[in-house]
Amino acid sequence: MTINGSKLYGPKGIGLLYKREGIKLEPLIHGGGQEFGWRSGTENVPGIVGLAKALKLVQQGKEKENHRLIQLRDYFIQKILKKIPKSFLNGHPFQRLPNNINISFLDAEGESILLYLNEHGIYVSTGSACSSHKLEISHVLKALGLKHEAAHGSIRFTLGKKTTQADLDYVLKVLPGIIASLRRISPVHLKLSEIREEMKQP
Amino acid sequence: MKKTRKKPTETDVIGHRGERWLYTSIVKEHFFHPKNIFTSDKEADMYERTADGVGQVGSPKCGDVMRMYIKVDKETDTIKECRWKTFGCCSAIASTSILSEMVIGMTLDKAKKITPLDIVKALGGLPARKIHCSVLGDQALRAAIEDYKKRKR
Repeated sequence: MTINGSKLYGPKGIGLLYKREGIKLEPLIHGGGQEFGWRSGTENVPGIVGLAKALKLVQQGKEKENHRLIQLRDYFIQKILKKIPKSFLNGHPFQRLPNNINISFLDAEGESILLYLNEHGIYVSTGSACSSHKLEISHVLKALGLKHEAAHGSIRFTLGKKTTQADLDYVLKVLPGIIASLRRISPVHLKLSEIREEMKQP
Repeated sequence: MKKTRKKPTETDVIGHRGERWLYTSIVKEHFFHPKNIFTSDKEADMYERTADGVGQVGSPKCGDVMRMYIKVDKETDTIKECRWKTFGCCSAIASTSILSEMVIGMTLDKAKKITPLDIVKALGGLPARKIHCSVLGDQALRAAIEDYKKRKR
């Protein structure tokens, strides 16, 4: 397992490798044999200290923060599915990370939704093929059984320690209009029931 | 030496691997303010019946679908009006939008010869990997012209 420092409010350019003893890995960087030979090169001491501190900080009040995020997450999911027709949650309703929300909006394309949200100062990610390097849909969504048609309209909203309910309410205010205007210029009219039915089949 | 920070005005999409895509200001204008679109579903339904030719290409599976509607001046075989619908990314929407402006007042023969490259040039360029999949408007337009000719016969 690897952990990226900047994902837990630590410094960028530092990571952590966690592996079982005895597992043999090929080092990516060869040379002076620093860090037990796993990563040669002068150690990034400030990065290491920063990552350790970041881990300590996230550990403090973890339960409380998780609880807060879960409440925000579930609030947002429930509101958005109610406000926007032909939308559905990807993944399990509660067996998921406290900060992760992934929703598909049929008949609108992810990169377009993302760019309109950007214009409103909202930053999200999409599983649409159009925004990937290889022009392929997210392999995670594919593994969840999502059809290409629905993956193209998927948006991931990630919550963090600075996310408040007011932020989510702001998204809830602008997003329905964005989806509606993209749907108005869309010649595609998928049926939610059909997409969901197809997903159930292996 | 004083370094001036680059304005991020034209940095737009960051892909899964951190690569940045650049959309020109013309692309942005057509994406955020698409031209010749329907302002309501009612208008679109009406146009569906009154257009002289309709053509559609692409599939929702692939992520891009374009539908073009034309009204033709029968005397001169010139495109009077062009409307469209597009499902797709920014470059798909922008390229169809600019195409709809390019063809108004154009003869059918000339309009049929429009290539994806002409559209890309008009937009001031597009990210290379986007051209192949998202510039399909010319095909939809040709399909609409064929549809018009078929109906005329």
